Amino acid sequence: MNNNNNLLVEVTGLVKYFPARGDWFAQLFDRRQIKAVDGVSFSIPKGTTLGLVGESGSGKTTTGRLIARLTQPTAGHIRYEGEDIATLDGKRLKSLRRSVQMIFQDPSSSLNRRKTVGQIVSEPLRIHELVPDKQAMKSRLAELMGMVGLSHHFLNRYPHEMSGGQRQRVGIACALAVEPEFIICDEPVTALDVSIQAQILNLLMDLQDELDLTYLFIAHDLSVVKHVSERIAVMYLGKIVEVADKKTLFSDPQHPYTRALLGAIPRPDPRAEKRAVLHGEVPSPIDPPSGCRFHPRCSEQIGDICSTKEPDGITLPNGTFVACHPRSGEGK
Amino acid sequence: MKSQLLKVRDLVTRFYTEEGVVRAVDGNSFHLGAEETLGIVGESGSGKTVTGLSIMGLIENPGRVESGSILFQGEELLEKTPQEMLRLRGKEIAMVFQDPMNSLNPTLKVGEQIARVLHFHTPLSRREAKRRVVELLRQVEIPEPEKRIGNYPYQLSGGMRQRVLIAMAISCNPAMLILDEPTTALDVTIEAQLFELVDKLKAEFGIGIILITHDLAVIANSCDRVIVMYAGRIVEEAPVVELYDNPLHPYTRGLLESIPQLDKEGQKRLPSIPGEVPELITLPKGCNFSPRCKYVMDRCIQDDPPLMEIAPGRKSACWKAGEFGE
Repeated sequence: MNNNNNLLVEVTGLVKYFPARGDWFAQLFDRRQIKAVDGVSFSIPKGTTLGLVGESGSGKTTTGRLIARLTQPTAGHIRYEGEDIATLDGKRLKSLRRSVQMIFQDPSSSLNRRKTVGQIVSEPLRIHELVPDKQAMKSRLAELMGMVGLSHHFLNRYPHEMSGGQRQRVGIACALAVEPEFIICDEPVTALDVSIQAQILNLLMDLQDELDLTYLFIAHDLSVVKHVSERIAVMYLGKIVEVADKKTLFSDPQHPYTRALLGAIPRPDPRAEKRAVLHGEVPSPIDPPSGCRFHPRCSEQIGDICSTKEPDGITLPNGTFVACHPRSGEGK
Repeated sequence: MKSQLLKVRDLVTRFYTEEGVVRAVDGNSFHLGAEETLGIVGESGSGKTVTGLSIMGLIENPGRVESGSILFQGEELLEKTPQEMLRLRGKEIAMVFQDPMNSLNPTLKVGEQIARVLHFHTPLSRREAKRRVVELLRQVEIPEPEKRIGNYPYQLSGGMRQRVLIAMAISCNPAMLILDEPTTALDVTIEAQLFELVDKLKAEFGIGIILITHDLAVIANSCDRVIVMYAGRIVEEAPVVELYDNPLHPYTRGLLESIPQLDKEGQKRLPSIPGEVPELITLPKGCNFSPRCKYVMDRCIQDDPPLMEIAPGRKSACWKAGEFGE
């Protein structure tokens, strides 16, 4: 596979627990923890896109926020260009922010509505002291607006005067302002209309080609993830259950959850087969099932091992990583 | 031929806002047969939800159903008094909304909420109503219904809340059910479960269903017939298979092309519809879609195309619709 020099991001054993109760007083009596991310490992080669899919509560957003260092990991390592950034703080964290940026789902709540677009986009430029004077600021702002396909007239507008698609373009301009190498896109098109989604996906892919960007693309919509990613990781209840090349994942899915998820997706084709239905709901991350976390809903259990032992996961000859006992050849 | 359950003609609903008059629904006609599922698909601001609310008689100030006719089982709904509509809603017609948390009362146990609907519309006694509530929850496949009736909405997952709302909607055996983006807030595996349930209920009780959604994949899976809305107007109407095989309006064509498809290989760029959905206050002259349309010609900018029958069962509001065949 890829040699290690090519890896921009390498995550090993990433863990994030949140207290189940918000305030410190309640925590005195209730020490339970929400195991949002529980031992996640993957890597992203430079210039590529890793898609991260899962349902609500799978921990995909928390994983993204951990890598962006918006929250502090409970345990684990995040290597960025070989350096462990899991415990950075102060100045070095600030300089990391120049390389790693994030695009959020809902641009109307991530943009300050009291500021004009010009003020919003110029903020990262000022914080990181990237432009020497007003003139340079003006031309850089115009350049950024051009990159995301907005007219420079928008610089004087407020977010509420714009449509959802335009606001998401502003969100992208903010991320691009500091010339990052790595962008974490968290459901960037989920809140947008269908005809606008395609515009934003095309923009993100064009920018990747132009600027040699690396993406972690988080979404619940597998069709969208498939369109933009080279490799795809599937999360379930805080764990990665499968990582595979996009083609392999769709043609030869290994994990029973991946298969159930693929079967449940509606196709825009009235002649398509009826959707397969996975019964039950995702259990609580406070008290996840023992053994393999998917076992209570799994139709391919092979015995006690599934409910008692957590699968370590193996890498198959075709490069697919899968965490499932039957696939690991155990219990046979 | 299935009997007509609902017949809407030239429906006009407007909102009188400070910025101007919003033409939310602009002269639309359609019908729904008994035991039929009609999909209404469109993007935000297309008027699909307002269409549903107009049928339910739930348009509030500054909005008004301006003109037109809504015949439900042969009766004119627009001539009914608010009192009469109150008796009809929840009994003959029911609607399920997108966000179940906003539709449920957070301070009432879910069993009590469903029972209130039963008390309002039926002469059932307390004990009978309770038994019926448990039965309803079992019908919508909520596990342990005897326990669940004592739960508050916050104690249920999103999928379970939506099931409670469906139970409430079918509690008085309505003839028609309007589902407005019923699964948009839910995960895809839960969405698949809910549509399985809706199909089962439809077959069991013979309900006519209007499914309002922005999701063309959901429409393809669950509807018999589809109307496509854009900026307040119906731009296309077709049986579901024909719509996907050969869309007769440039907007439908653009929408279908622009969704990433799981089963298609090797497209790098998605074809996209340029521009944005227009403001309903300042609609363009001529065809509403003309500023974004790649087939636009002079006539489109001058003349507003009406919804025309192109082939049996197939309607399109496009001057070039006849040319899209094959």
